[in-house]
Amino acid sequence: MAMSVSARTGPSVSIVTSHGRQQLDWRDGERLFELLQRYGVPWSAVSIYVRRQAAGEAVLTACLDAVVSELDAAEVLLYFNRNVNPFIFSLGRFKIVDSEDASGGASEYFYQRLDNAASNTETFLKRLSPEECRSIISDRVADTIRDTMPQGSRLVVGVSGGGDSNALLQALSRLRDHVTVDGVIIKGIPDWDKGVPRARTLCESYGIPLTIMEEDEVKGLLGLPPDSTGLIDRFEREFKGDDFEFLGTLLIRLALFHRARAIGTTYACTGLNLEDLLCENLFRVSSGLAPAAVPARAIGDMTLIFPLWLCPKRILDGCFPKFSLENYDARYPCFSLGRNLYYSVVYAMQSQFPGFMEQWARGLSTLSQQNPVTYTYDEQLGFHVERFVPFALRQQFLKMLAAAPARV
Amino acid sequence: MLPKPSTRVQWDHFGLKNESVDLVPFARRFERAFHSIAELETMRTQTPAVPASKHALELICGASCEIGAH
Repeated sequence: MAMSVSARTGPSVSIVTSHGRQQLDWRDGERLFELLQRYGVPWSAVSIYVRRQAAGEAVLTACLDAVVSELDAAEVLLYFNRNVNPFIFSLGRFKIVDSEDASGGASEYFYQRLDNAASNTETFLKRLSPEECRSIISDRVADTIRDTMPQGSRLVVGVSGGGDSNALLQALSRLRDHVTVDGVIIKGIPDWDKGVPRARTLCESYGIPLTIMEEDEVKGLLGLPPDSTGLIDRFEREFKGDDFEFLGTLLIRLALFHRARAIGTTYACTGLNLEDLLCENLFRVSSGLAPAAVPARAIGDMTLIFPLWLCPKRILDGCFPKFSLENYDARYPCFSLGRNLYYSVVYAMQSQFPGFMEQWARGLSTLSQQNPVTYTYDEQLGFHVERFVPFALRQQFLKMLAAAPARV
Repeated sequence: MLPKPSTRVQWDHFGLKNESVDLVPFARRFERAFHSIAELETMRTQTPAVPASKHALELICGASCEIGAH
């Protein structure tokens, strides 16, 4: 047995599956629910049968909240309610693959081999030096750029000054034989403005021109006069309790496309990573919407490319650890329940089934290409939207743009 | 107590419910392995999708979930 089983008084607790059974060692004061969590047993996958006496009848019992030591029982049997073996994918036993340098690694990632022929898995915790992380990201970015853009194209890239955009820029800077890169950063959001000096330094170091779009220019993307109320004030007044990231996403897309038109290209890219893509499309498919296109999304006459679509955040963070930390320190909280929900579900799945995420992403990508979402130009809003915008929401958005008084 | 199996094919598997095994893997010391980044990245990004059935029988029979058995 891998774990010793307590000899204390109290019930024995066993998980019973079609693949075998195992006694679980509970701790003093531990609730059954907590015990399941500690062993990685999903509470929804077990039916709990309790025997009061050793040879007594096993009775289906509702007791997830019970402190195990206080249960009036001789035995608790947790019957796994499906004949699968969920523990095949457990991360409790894995092999360590050291980083190539002697540092012990700046980051790490669980690589999991899913062997269908043998019906088993093998898991490796790969320690990653910054150089190894950069090499991984460079290879993934090169794959995507070469697959989605013709040689000699110009590409406008959104730059935040954080770790991800640094990783993206360094990868793109290795593709000078294929693309010419043009950076853009927008201003007007205090937390984002802090990234401007870093973005400037980064672009200089990679020899990439950077366009810094001032707040007044950003307002112009939405048809707002330069001397009017700021974007954040407008947003917070009209969409109280919501997250500015949503409007920010639109602004960045508009800014990138604006710059792309100015330099005569139809390609722009952002730093959407593996978890972002899964989050977006988890929301979409669970809401009855087709997956949004990855890694290349046609919006009007522009193509938005996501070179990091198969890059996990843990590996991105390892590329330039100092930049990533500064970016974390400058973050503000997100309150939208949905955004919290979809990211949390993705992280929970990734943490338990790391070998499955890329299959999921690739499946979504295939579906998105087979059934491409079309975006239509909305005359009233002045930009492309995917779906019908309900009247009330449209009015509220227009009110945000129009009703704000001019700045004195 | 389970009935004594009459054959030694599928029936033997019912006995597994009574066999103690390490279902939940747990290791105090981890082995080392050596794999190149390229090998690990191929494993991560290019492994074919896992079919529902080992032999992809879902193409003929469905993916086994619709009758809710077992």
